Amino acid sequence: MNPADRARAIARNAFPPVGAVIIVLVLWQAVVLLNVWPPYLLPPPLDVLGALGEQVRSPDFYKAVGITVGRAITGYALATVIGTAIGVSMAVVPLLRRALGSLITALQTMPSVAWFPFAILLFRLSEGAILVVVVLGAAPSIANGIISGIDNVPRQLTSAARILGARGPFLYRRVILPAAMPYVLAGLKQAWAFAWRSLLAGELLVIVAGRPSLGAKLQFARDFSDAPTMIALLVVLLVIGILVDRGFGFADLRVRARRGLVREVA
Amino acid sequence: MHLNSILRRLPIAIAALFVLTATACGGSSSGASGPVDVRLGYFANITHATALVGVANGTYGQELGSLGKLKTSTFNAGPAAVEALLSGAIDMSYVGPNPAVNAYVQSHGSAVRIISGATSGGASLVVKKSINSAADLKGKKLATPQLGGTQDVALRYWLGVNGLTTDSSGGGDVSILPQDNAQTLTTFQAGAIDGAWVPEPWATRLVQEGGGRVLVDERSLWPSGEFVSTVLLVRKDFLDAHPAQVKAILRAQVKTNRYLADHPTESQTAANAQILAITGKALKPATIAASWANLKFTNDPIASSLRSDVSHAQKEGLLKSTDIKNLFDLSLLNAVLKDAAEPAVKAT
Repeated sequence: MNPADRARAIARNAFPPVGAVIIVLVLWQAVVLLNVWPPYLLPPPLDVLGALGEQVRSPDFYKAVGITVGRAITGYALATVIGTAIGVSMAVVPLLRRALGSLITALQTMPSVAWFPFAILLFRLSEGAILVVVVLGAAPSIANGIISGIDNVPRQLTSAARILGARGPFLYRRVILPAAMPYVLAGLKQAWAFAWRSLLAGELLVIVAGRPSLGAKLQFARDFSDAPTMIALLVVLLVIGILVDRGFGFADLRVRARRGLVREVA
Repeated sequence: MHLNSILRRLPIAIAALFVLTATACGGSSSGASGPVDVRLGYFANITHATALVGVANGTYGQELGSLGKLKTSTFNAGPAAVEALLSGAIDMSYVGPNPAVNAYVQSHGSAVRIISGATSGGASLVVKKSINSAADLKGKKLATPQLGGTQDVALRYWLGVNGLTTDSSGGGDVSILPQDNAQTLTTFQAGAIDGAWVPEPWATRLVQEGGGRVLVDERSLWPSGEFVSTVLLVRKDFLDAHPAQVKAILRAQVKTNRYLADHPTESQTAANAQILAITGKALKPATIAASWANLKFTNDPIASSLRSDVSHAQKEGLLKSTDIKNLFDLSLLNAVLKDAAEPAVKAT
């Protein structure tokens, strides 16, 4: 591919998302101009850009992003470990599965915000309360992803592997896990969405002293009736969401490449 | 090309959408004549005794008469009341000066006006008996009613003057925890916080029921002990559209403030009855009496103290602008005061 073609390809890929953003901005500005809401309730995009600039220039903002993302990673990692342990043991031990199967699914559908009043009671307004709820929100999705992944491994595949002499850990590592990967990955992706939602809900409710976070900043913006900052923080949350989604998209591509569904990624 | 045809039609679609939205929202404005309900916000605090007693005695309803009905909402602190006011859930509210100024500044002066004062004084920093000076507060936890509220700003500024740092997320030399006043009392009793800067009756309750002592009576920080602690804030579009209703509310307030001064005993009983109706729990008569002694009811918004509040808030990084040129609109109040043969008030 020569440089000109490459540039054209990039432009072609960038056009739809950039166009969508421009349309949203134009619509937003138009609603502002219509004066349906006064500008102090629905500020124009430029005011929000100003507020965003103000945030980006303050060192406190990076601390808040760091703490929020840190909490997300900690909670998600813990949920992955716990969810994987539960998922694997339930997939392997049928009795455990009959005992806990519907409970895990019930936990998965439960809005994790509902845990907060109880978590605050047990852990006070602390990091612990947030972490517990994030894990409770995310772990069931991971467990369920692993269970359905293992369930859906084609029989022929395991039979063939056994005939060829694959046994025990080797069978799991080289045959079942790769075959289950799409479901596991879907579970991991859903778990991230649940973890992220639980986290933000938690940060609005549980403001830990001396620990600035994006959720706490959103609450402060509310206390000061500061609509531009509120929307600026929503934009930040959206951007973080998009970046993480890109990460999962890349992992997805790797899995599909392994299966020969797309060309090998660089 | 397909995309081109979509893009060509887009403006038409957008225009159609807006026409629909505009017509859907256009029908809500009502004329100045005819009865209009007045939605008034206030707190179940003694610093809001004007509203407590005026509502309990029916003075506000009587003055409104055929102009409309009074509907009330109560709040724990100013930022929540201001949020309700800006979003149009209420029309006017008794609030502390800092949230009032914040609403004015956030809307670039377009959304609200202070049309009267109501109370002077009535806020204190109450601490554990073991704390004797500002220096003892280092490393301690203090509560305020809500971040950005009047007492919250007062505490941060006072700590700053005494060389102690704070920040909005509870860090610094002194950790500030904004929380509900009722929670402040229970956490103070449990020893989880070391004190609180709160309005009456909570300051008195922390002393009487929490075994605390008054470290700072805010009156001691102001010239002649006078500072505005409650103002009446109104949405500007409501003020412009319904001046008759706003004037009726002001008549009721001037009348009630006169009654509070002339009949303290009856007023305290009425205020307590209203607090019981709102919170489900009456105060001890001794609590009300002690709170009452710490404040003064006045229609004057004491603009000089409000200006200081503004500069304190800006110094603490809680306010972006100090331009409050059109914050006050006291013309209706002065007309009411003139009719009642009371002296006029000034916005400077």
